[in-house]
Amino acid sequence: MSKLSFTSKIPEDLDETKIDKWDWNALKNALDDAGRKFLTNQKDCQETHSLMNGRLIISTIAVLFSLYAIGYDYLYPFPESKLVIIVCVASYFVTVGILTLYTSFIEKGCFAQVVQKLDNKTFYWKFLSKQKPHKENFYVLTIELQHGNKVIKKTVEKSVAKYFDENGVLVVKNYYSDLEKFCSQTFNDKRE
Amino acid sequence: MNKRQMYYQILNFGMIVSTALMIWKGLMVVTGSESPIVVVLSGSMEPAFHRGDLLLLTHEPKGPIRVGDIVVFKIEGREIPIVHRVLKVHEKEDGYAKYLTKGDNNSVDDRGLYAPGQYWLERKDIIGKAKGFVPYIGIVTILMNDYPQLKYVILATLGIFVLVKREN
Repeated sequence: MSKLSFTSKIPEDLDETKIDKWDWNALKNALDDAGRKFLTNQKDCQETHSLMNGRLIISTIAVLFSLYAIGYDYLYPFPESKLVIIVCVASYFVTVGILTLYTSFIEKGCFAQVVQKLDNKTFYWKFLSKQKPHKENFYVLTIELQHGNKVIKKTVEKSVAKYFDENGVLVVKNYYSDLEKFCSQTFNDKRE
Repeated sequence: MNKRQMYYQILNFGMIVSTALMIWKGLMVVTGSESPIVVVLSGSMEPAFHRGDLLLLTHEPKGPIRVGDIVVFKIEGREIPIVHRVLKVHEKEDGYAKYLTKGDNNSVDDRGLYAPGQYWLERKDIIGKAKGFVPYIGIVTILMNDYPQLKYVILATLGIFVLVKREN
């Protein structure tokens, strides 16, 4: 039975992160960035970007529709371009709608993905995060582990006060040791 | 991931600009007018419209034009369209019509504005009718017209802001 060999060691190239502790957006981004570094630096782990690539592709398609409509209208001014404009404008807004659904229901706040190869088995790790609405000082982290057909999810809620000191500096040691603990728990859950 | 994040910031900026443009083009199709929304630049239609009001224009090439309608027309050789009221209409049985316009706040009709030798407007000169208006909103456009540097300052600031701020 393999044991999860995640380390909470801090990589040398991690700069100290100092943010304005009342800026909820920066808090979340700092935790996301550090968490991503934690996951991608683990042994046997390779970062993947499948979810983000999906978002980029959908966005690119939307912008392409818009560029085509603008270009066509420039070359063949309205009213000859009427049909092209109708099709492109409708397609643009439909694509943007699809993008919104994608980010809300498929991506769901995922900020890191890795593929781990351990003992000939493949594990897919995902870190997702969000802040509690109206309680942005709580960071909600979800760890998703997929092995074969099974998906194990673990969600933890922590006050950011646990990881940031009074000056707004991220105390990586505390954060990483918690991350290592949560990942091990998730990994052990999969056997049940 | 940084490359992807950067690409997404650019796409985000592109989508914001595209949304505005798509709404504009969509309005063009819905109203049938090349410029569905225009800003009133002069006070010649007071008290109906004032400088800085926003007008919604539609264009129905087959629709009727009657005395009292507020129409948008272009004079040959002039870039900027004029929005004035129809004063007189002469119509023949075959459908050919000619129109005389005047700004509500002007003391004379628009013959002084028409091209040399032109005493009436024809259907082809009229590019739309005013269907609705929103007061005051167009003041920003007038300011940007009078002080062109303001346009670039605003655009540059917005552009930098969108490209640099990472969304949640």
